[in-house]
Amino acid sequence: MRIEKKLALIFMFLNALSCNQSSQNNTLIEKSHKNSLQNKNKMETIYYSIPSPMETTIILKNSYSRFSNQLLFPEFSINKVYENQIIALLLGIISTDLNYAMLFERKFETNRLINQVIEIAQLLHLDAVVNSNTKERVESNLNNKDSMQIIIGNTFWEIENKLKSDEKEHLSALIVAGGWLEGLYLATNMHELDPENKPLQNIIAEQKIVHENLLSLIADFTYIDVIEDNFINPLENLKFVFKNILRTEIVENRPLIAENNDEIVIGNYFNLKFEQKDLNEIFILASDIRKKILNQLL
Amino acid sequence: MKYLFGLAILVFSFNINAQCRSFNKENCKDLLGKYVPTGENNSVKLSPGDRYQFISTFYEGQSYRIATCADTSLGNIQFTIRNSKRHLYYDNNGNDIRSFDFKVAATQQLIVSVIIPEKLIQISSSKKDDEGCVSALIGFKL
Repeated sequence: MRIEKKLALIFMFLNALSCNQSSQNNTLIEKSHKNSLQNKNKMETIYYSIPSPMETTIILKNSYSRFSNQLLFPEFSINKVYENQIIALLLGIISTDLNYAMLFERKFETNRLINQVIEIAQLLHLDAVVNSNTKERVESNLNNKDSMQIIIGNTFWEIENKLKSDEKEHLSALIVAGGWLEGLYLATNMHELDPENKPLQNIIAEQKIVHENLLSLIADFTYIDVIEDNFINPLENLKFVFKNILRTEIVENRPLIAENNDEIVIGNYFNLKFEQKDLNEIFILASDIRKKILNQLL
Repeated sequence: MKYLFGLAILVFSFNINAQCRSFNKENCKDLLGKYVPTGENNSVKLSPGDRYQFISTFYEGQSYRIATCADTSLGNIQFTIRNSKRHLYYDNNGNDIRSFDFKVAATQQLIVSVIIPEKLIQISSSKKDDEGCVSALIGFKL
């Protein structure tokens, strides 16, 4: 049984214990509070299983070093979008694109995307975190990729803090999910361009773990129908492809802690078993979800 | 059973608050040095004897640093890194080593635990008075 499910069961058990002597009203309040705590705890536990857009794009760049602005999410007018949930989803997508452009030191695209991120963040009342000051700092560091990454990394760290402080974890989850989907879209498109690239294939296959955690994360929240139909449900359908990817632990006498060039290497070794058709299906599904976002949500 | 007990401790010890999030930013970031924060913010309020755990995905080929810090009143905190089968990879044994640099053999999830030492002499009247902020940060090398 998954950790999260166990946590949920423990909480249900605690709820039952704690509510025994309460009046019905108090019980409802107590339950609601506990559920909210449960969501928070789950958010904390699972959230950390999902790599940030920056980490994902860095890993991708290490495996595929060519930039294509054709892969970026098409330009759109955010002023025509009124639903906060759609706005949050778009913020996640554009954040990944921003990191992608920044890593490849594409000044024009970086500039366009940082402007878009600021615009979107303002609609989510995140202008205390992302604002013209952020833009100035990015612009003055356009030639210093490392500083820019630290600025952007810290900015997204603060966005997460702000949304959680404001008890908008459901929006935070959508930012994470949007960012992950865009990372998957970039990876699968890179794979289409370079199908023999084994590290890239592995990165896509390894998303099986992240996808499971992502589904658990979003399962805690209820979203508007248009998000459920065009994003959540298709995202869930990816599990039918990921289940074909087999990840087995290699049991051997190799030590689980080793030193390699003065670096400590820990953890198990795994075998990933998948076929090209699995990766192609992931490519089709990820592209379809992105199309739905473009055509149905904007 | 042991596992469920551990989870119960985890559940009781979760008490996230905004104050601890800013504690993380103000007091712990320097511990990451040249490692870029992944954006993950593991900040909680804990009391002596509490344990806090989180799971994170680490990618093959990346160099990581996990750094921890806590209110000085909590003493030297212990932090451990285990795999999903609870195999222990690292334990600072409660000494003053605050960070650990490593790579992973293959992309995988690891469990990071932070344990607050019990106080030998209880000075304050309630456990709540002994609470303090604890943070664990993950950074990766560019």
